[in-house]
Parts: sequence; C-alpha cells; structure tokens
Amino acid sequence: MQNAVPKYIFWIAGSALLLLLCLLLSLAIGEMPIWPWQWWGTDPGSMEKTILSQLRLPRSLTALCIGGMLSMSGSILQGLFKNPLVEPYTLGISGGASLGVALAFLMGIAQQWGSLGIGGFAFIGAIAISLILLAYHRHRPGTNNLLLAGIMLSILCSAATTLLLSLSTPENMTQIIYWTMGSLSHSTPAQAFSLCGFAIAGLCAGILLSQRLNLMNLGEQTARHLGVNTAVLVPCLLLLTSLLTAVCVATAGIIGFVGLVVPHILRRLAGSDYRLLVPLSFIVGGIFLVLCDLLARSLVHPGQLPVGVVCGILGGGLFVYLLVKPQKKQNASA
Amino acid sequence: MLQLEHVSAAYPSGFKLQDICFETTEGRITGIIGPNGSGKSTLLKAICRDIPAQGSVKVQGKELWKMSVAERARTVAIVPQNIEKLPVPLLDFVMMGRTPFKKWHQLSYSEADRALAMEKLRQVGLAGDAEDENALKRTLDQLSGGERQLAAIARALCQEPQLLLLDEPTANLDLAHQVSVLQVVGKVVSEARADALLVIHDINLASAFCHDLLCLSCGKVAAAEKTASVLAKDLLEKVYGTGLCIGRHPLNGRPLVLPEI
Repeated sequence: MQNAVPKYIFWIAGSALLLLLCLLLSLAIGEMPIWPWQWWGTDPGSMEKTILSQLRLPRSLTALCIGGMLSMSGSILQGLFKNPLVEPYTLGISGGASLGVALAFLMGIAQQWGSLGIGGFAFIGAIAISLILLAYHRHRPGTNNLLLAGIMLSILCSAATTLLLSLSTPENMTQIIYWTMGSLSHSTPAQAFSLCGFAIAGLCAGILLSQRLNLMNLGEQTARHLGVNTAVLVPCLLLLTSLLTAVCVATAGIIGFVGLVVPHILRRLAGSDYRLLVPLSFIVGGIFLVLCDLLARSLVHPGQLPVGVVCGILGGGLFVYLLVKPQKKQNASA
Repeated sequence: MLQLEHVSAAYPSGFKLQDICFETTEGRITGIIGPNGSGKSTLLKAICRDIPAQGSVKVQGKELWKMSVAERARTVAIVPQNIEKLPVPLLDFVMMGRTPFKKWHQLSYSEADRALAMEKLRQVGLAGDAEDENALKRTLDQLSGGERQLAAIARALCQEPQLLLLDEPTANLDLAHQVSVLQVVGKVVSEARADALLVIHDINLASAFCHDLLCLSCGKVAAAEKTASVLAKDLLEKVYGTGLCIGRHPLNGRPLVLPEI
C-alpha cells in the first residue's frame, strides 16, 4: 500500500482534473455557447446565468452523479461476484425499476403524480428486487446462487414489462418506451443538489468497504477465513448498490453500459485494487456520462437524443473493441 | 489444543461425517489420512463452519463456533488446497492475514503489519534477509505452485493462529516442494507453539512429518493415535481396501508403507 500511494494520487488527481475539464466543456457547449466565466461577468437575471444555473449545471451535475453511482455500483458488484460481466442491470435491479414504471403508467399514477410517481414506482421496483435477492441470499448463501437468481429475476421483470406494454394504451406505450431510453433533460437544480449529497454519501460508503472487497476478490470463503463477516458484508454491498442504482433509474430512466464498461476498462488500466478502483470508477463514470450527455444534446439540432441511447452505442462499441483487442497481461495490486 | 466432540456434518448428496471425537496436543502436527471420500476435507470444512455441522469444536478450551468471524480468524488459520493465480503482489497477499486485527474502517495496513508479513515471508523462505522489492512485487500468478503454498502459509501465520489447518498442502507439488512445504510447517508450528491439522494423501510423508494421525473411513474415525500406532498393516489394509507392506525407513526408522504389487 505504501508504495502504491503515488500511483493512487496520479490516477485520482488526473481523473479529477479531467472531470473538471469535461464539466466546464459541458457547461460551455450548447445551442448558445457560454463560457463559465460569464457566470461572474453578467447580471443576476441574464439569459446566460439562467441557462447555466437552471439548465446546464443541474444537468451536468446529474450526469456526473448518475454516471459515477452507476459505474461505482458496477465495480463493487464485479468485485463482489468476481465476475466482470456483472453490473446493476445484470442483477435485475433495473428490470424491477422498469416494471415499476410500466405499472405506474398503467395504473394512471404517472399521469396523476408526474415524475414523482414514476420515480417512486421505479424506486419501489428496484428495491423490491434487491430485497428478494437479499432474502434469497439468506436462504441460500453464495455469490453464484445470487447471480443466477438476479439473472432470472431480470428475465422475469422483462417479460412482465412486455406484458404490461402489450396491455397499455398506445399513448402510455410511447411514454414507457421513451422513459426506458434514459434522459437527463428534466434535471432541476434541487434534484441535482440532492443527488450530489446522495452520491457523496454512496462514494464514502463504497470507499470504506473497498478494502473488504479486495478480500472478497479472493473468494467469499477465503474472505470469511480471513475474518470478513461475509454474512453482513454481502447484503450491505448489495443494498448499497441497489439503492444507488434505484436512485439513478428513478432520476433518469434506464442508462446501461456505464456500470459494465467503465469498471472493466479501469481494471485493465489501473489494476484491481478496489481502494483505487471504487473512487476511480465514480470519477470516470461521471466523465463518461457527462460526455455522453454532451453528445446527446449536441449531435442533433433541433432536439436531442436520449442519453441512454448514446451511452449504449458508445459503451457497446468500446466493449466490443475491448473484446476484439488482444489482451495484455495485467499487473494489478490488491 | 484442539478438541472435537461428537462432530457430525452432512451433505445434501448423502455423505455424512459421523460423530468425530479426537483432540490434538499443543505444538504437534496431526495428519488426517484416509481414502478418497472418507471425509478428510469435509472435516476441515466442518471445523471452519464452511458447512453446517453439529457437535463441539474447542481451541484452547474455547468454543470455536461461538466466536465472531474475526475472533475465529485470529484463532484458526486455513491454508487452502488451491491458491488462485491472481494478479495480487506477494507482500499484499501475505498482509491480508492481518485483516482480523484491523478495524472495519482501516483502509491500509500498518508498518507493523508490513514488518510482520516480511518476517513470515522470511520464515517460509520466500524473502531473504535484505528486503528485495522486486521479489515482493511478484504477483501470485508469477509464482510456482510450491511458492504459492508457502505464500498461503505465510499469510496464515500472519493471523497468529493457535490452530493451523492445511488442506492437502502438498497436492500437485513435486517431491522437493512437498518436502520443503512440510519442513516449513514443522518449523513454524514448533516456533509458534500452535497446533497443525493437515489433510494428506501421501502416507509416507505423513509418517515422516506428522506426530499424530487421524485416520478416517466412510466419515468415521478409524483410528486416532500416534503416527507409528496408526500405520499398522491390518488397520491400513482394512481402511484402504488393498494389500500393503509396512517396512521401516532406513534412515529414521519410521514406518514406510508400500502397496503390495
């Protein structure tokens, strides 16, 4: 660890600097180019200031937090399951959220309560799945069992959502489908700042549990032999990642691939020490989604693309490239 | 001292470990022998609570199964049969043995942990007197099978346990590595005044390195005595179901077991 400190500082400081640059770029670029220093140089009620404070800053902060939380959740779950293909979506958490949203539309709650109803039902769906997983883990311990249960639940939720889609009106169907594409266009300042608080709390919890994740990387049984209370740690990690994912899904809909691709690439570049990988995944996940959102609102004029679509195309492309590219030997530290 | 009282365990497949009672003596190595499927590794799993088991397991008079996970890890250390080829640096791997002594919020190991890990690495012969950074930076996937076993023993010693459990530590190793691993076990057990319980298939290695033997057959204790007493022709032939010759080692006079072919 002592020898690894300069490496950690290099990665964290470098990625944080890059994140700052991306945020500035995201604030500046749009239909009306605004340089961030115009914040200080204009009147309080000016158009530039309003656009920055009411539209671009909340949207960029939302993208940063959601990207960070999804990516960190992915890296934690990949460590927990010792499987590089696991992410919040593999475990059915997003499937539960989608089912919740489809139900909200079908029951008329989305029309009556708006985004609060959609978000609430998405949250209930995601948490319900994680509670089922936790109950199953108590009944039948072992990460492999948990992963299989997650995949099965994901398939079940997907089938149930399709059933609800087929039962809904054409108008509801369009709304549900648009929601599942993922979007950050409804971000508000209040929402963005509360999301920041949630993301910081989640990041702190992730960092505190990261050393235990290094031991989980040796296998659940070995970790237990080394004094890790896996009966507590596994549910804690699952609950943490479920909460983070539920908040993301409730805020912005389905945004896939961030939790899969970012930790995967970072593990190749920076090694598999979770004390570095967890905070680094948060920062780079944030960068990734901020850039995806920037592309989503800049590529098409007028209008914008759903950020989930841009994320899927970029993330999927990167993932295919990684699969095709010959692998170099890793030299990680744990 | 390890005391097992009426320990039983069962797998859903039907295999049962039945009413195991025996005890070890401090600072001695006890080998668990028996044919395949006799329950040797299952017994270690039962002791560690990796499988549900009934009965009582006491280490130095304290009930092992009633301890917290961390306290149990400070009392018993396990060297598994297979150590995964992970890209984890050797020193970091060995320092993981200090986990049961750390608070949950501590993210890194202390200088004292590092010094202890270095001492244990020297004890098992994986580090020289001078700190060789390159040797310590080697990752597990760059070590040979024997070196990985020694690294796992060093990690287990970092737990400063009263009982060391080794599950077939010589499996898949060549003769030189088998001898060096068992010599290290013998040395560290006598130095630490801990007990060691090891599952071993090679009866002659067991004869050479173990003070006592626990012989299992079909999940039951067939014999639990001093090594020379257990390695008797009638008992071994009955347990293994094959004809055997029992001779004497020409150098140390210990029993030498050969198949009757």
